[in-house]
Amino acid sequence: MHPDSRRFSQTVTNAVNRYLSHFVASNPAVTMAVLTSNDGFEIAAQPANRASTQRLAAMSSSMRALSDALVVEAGMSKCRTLLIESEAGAIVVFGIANTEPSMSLAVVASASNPLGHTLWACRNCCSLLEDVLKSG
Amino acid sequence: MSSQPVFIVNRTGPRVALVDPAPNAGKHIATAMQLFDSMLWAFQGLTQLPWTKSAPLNADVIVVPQGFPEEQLMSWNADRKLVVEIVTVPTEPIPDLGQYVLTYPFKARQALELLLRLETRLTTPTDVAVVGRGQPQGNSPDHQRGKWEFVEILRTLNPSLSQKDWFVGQRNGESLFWLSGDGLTYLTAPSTAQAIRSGTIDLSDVVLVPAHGSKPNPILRARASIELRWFAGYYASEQLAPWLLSAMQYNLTRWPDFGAIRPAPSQIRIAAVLSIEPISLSQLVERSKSSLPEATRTLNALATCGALAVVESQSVAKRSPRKTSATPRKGFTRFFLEIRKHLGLGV
Amino acid sequence: MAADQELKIVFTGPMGAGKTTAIRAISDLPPVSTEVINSDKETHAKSTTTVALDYGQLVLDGGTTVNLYGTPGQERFSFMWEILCRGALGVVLLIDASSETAMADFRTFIEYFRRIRYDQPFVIGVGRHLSQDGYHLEEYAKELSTHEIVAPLFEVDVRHREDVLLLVQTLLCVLEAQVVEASHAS
Repeated sequence: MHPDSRRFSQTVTNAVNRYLSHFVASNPAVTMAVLTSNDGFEIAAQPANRASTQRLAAMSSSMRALSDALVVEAGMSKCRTLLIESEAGAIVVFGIANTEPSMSLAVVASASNPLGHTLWACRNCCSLLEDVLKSG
Repeated sequence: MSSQPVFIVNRTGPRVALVDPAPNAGKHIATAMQLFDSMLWAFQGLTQLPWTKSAPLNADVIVVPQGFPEEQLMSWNADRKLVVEIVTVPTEPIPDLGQYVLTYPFKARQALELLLRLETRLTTPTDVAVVGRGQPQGNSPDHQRGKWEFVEILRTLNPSLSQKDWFVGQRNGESLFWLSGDGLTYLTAPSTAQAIRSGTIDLSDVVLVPAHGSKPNPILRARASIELRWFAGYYASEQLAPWLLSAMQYNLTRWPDFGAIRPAPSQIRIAAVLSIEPISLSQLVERSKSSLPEATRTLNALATCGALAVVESQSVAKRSPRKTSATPRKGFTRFFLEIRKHLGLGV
Repeated sequence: MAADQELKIVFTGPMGAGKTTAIRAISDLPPVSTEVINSDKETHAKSTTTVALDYGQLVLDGGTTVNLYGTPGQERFSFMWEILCRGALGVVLLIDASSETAMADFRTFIEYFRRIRYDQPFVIGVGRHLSQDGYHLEEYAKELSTHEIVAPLFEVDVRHREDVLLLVQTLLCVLEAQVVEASHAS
């Protein structure tokens, strides 16, 4: 658990875990969801207690940072979402707005559901997380 | 500090005694002692002097297995004999004994290097208060050897003292610098340091005098002694140091701190070539594209810094060519020229 | 230039050792950085940390470019170390001697990078020695010797361009010696 997750109350932390758990359970295509700090720490994850979620947290923060540098280089303002597609599915990294410290939600999804559906579900989850983290 | 060994003057070569391990000492230490014994025989002709075996009573050097009673070692030391301890488990040297330690398994070059160091120790006056008087004149071998007296002092200095103890480097009664007892730092005025670095000061007749509790001026800034060693070795002579032979091959065992030394690009190149594989002086000149005097001086400097190992040319197995990185499109030669020019690094 | 022919020099080392500073000292372009706010001040007081890489460039006469990469310092980003140093001309390891974990960091990095490619040109710069009355590079030299590694190990201050150039010059000399040896062997 990341040291910064301690700055949130137990209520907020429980809510975050509940939302992630519900998100994963109600979207069968989603195999992993990790709330990560921008400097690569896992704050919350489903499934919980896996070494793979910690690695995903570090890697997704690296990819996010490279994407930020790339959009600046391309003269665009800010990276909002990073999408990596493969034959087996996709990995999506969403920035969570208005959080301190900055965070992202990294989601690994199989190709069993249309990508658009998965993206829509991810954005909804992000909105919920944003609300609960702001209140914490 | 350990007693000074007997200074061999008129004898033909050092005498060495090998002490057998106790029957219950274990297989490894017995093997290690046998290995050293066989290497002694194999190195005949490779050392500067002929080594002969003798009983401990008459020996200059006594080789003992790990765990030998400390009282006996101290007794031999008091009789001015050098002690070599062959160990199978790394161990801390006994304080105030100053023994040499060889850890099994050891390579042939390590054993040969040790013998050469022992020879130097035994054939050079080590009373640091009196060396360097009465320099021979001219280009005779004695004169050549005279140029190396201070370097020999540095090479054979026993670094067993504390950092807080000091030696004073003096020339003609004038104090030039302070050298710490652990041999790692020295203190001097900026102008003297500059003279040492530029070779405008002759260090060959410098003596090191124990400071006996005196301390250097606190305003003097500590400098890495590798700088003193490097330039003392570099400027001593344009010919190979007496303990180096042009027929041998040499390999870099460690890089001196070039952050403190700031050598010329050619010297870095020479060190780099020596770090890749064992090489003779003539091969070094060719591969580093340097002049013979520059390669010789740099070899001397590296040896003074304890960065060189002597290698038996017969024992070097041919290594498979190294894999290199991506190759520049125009080739490496052009690439090195362009990048050095771009960064202002000199040739 | 094909991707697998990329010429690059990698600067690595723990957080705060001076990698970004070193690249900035010699890069022809302002370095691109992927620094974000450091949320774990308990482990390191630095306000920011690199999470992907630093990127600089040398543009030589004749159009050859040499990319300069700085790796992230923290071990959780060690996957980037191997990616970045793959095919590199050489690696410069920078160590912050003032850090409490300096020796442990040193061990981690030399073991890791020697495992990736044992003969890759490798130069070590140690900076920020605290003590003025002692010389501490010997501890690092002993550690190298324990690992039977012979690599350039220098005391440097990467805020000074000439110190960075010394590291790069040494790297080039080692690479050049390897190239010469390879041509003699073939």
